[in-house]
Order: sequence, then C-alpha cells, then structure tokens
Amino acid sequence: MKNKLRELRTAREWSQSDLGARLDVSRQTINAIETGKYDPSLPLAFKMARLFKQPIEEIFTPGG
Amino acid sequence: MENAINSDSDGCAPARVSLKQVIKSLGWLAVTTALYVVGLKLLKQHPEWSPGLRVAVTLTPILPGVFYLLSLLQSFRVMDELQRRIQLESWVFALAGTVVVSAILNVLNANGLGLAQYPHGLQIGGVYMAMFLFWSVGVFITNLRYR
Repeated sequence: MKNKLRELRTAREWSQSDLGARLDVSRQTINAIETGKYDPSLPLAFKMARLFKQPIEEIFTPGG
Repeated sequence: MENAINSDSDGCAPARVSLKQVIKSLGWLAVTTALYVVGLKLLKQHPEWSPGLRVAVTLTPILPGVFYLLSLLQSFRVMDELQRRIQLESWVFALAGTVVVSAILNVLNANGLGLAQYPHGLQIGGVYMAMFLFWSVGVFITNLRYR
C-alpha cells in the first residue's frame, strides 16, 4: 500500500518522533509506514486521517 | 507542539514498555529460576522427603513463573502495533526453530547418530535455551526488516 504520510508530515515540519508522539506510536513505526514496509492497522489509519484532517483514502492508496 | 491525540478511544496502545515493567518481568524470571535451582538441589540432598513434599518443592516455581508470563502479557499490551508484530514474528520464529532443532536431534538419536550431549533430545532446559536464542535472533532480524 502506498501512502503520503511523509509528505503530510514534512509539510507540517514534524519529525518522525513528533508524529509518533501525536499518534502514540514509536518513531520506528512511523518510519516503517512511510517506507512502505508496514501497513498500519485500521484504528491507526483512522487516527492519522483525523490528525491530518483527510479521508483515509487520500492518505493511503492501494498498490506498491 | 499540539497535544498528542489521546489513544484510549481509538484502540491504539501507547508506544513503550516502561523500565519498571522490564524490571518486574526480569524479577519474576529470576525468582522462578532461583526457586527451580534451589528446589533441584534440595530434592537431590533430601531423597527421604515424602512424595507430597517433593511434589510441592518441584511445583513451587510454577507460581512465580505464572506471574512472569502475566508480566510478559502486560508488556505486550502496552507495545505499539509494530512492536507487537515484531514480538509475534519472533515468537513464531522461536517456536518453529525449536521444533526443527528438536526434531533433528530426535531423528539423529533414532538412527544412532545423536550428539553425546543430547542423548534424549532437547530436555526442558534445552528447549528454554533454544527458544531464547531463536527469539533473540528473531527480534534482531525483524527489527532490521522494519528499521
């Protein structure tokens, strides 16, 4: 699954640790999601969507 | 920085296992091991003890062992989802690795090719050691994969 998490994060000038703290997950988790090595759970994806005020399908797209 | 989003309503666990939890787990493991070792020594030194007492001494480490497992579960619950996945994959790796090693030793023994150190395959201590080794390797490998 592709995602634009890095794009959204850097647009707000947050570090991976900053984003991890806001979502209550580790920096490693954020990095693994950004690099496409790990797909987040649905609850975490919803938290991201709420944080960035975007629908989930805007952040995550199938493929890749 | 804005306030972090509260995770409680979303079902996402906090990210870290605290040092206190690690110490608690290790403490129960130490107590379990100590009771097991002392129990073995006592049973060897006192073969005259009644079967009931011997069973009681043998089973004494079970209780702290259960507390150790409960503290591990507690730690598991506070991990974030990636850490949980890493731990799960590592435990599966540990289980599979131990089964394979155990099967290899048993097959070798059955054909008279067994190692002198393991004439009866992996005993309970060997199983714990093998699981710990495979789990450690599993944690290392899966951490590398998700780094």
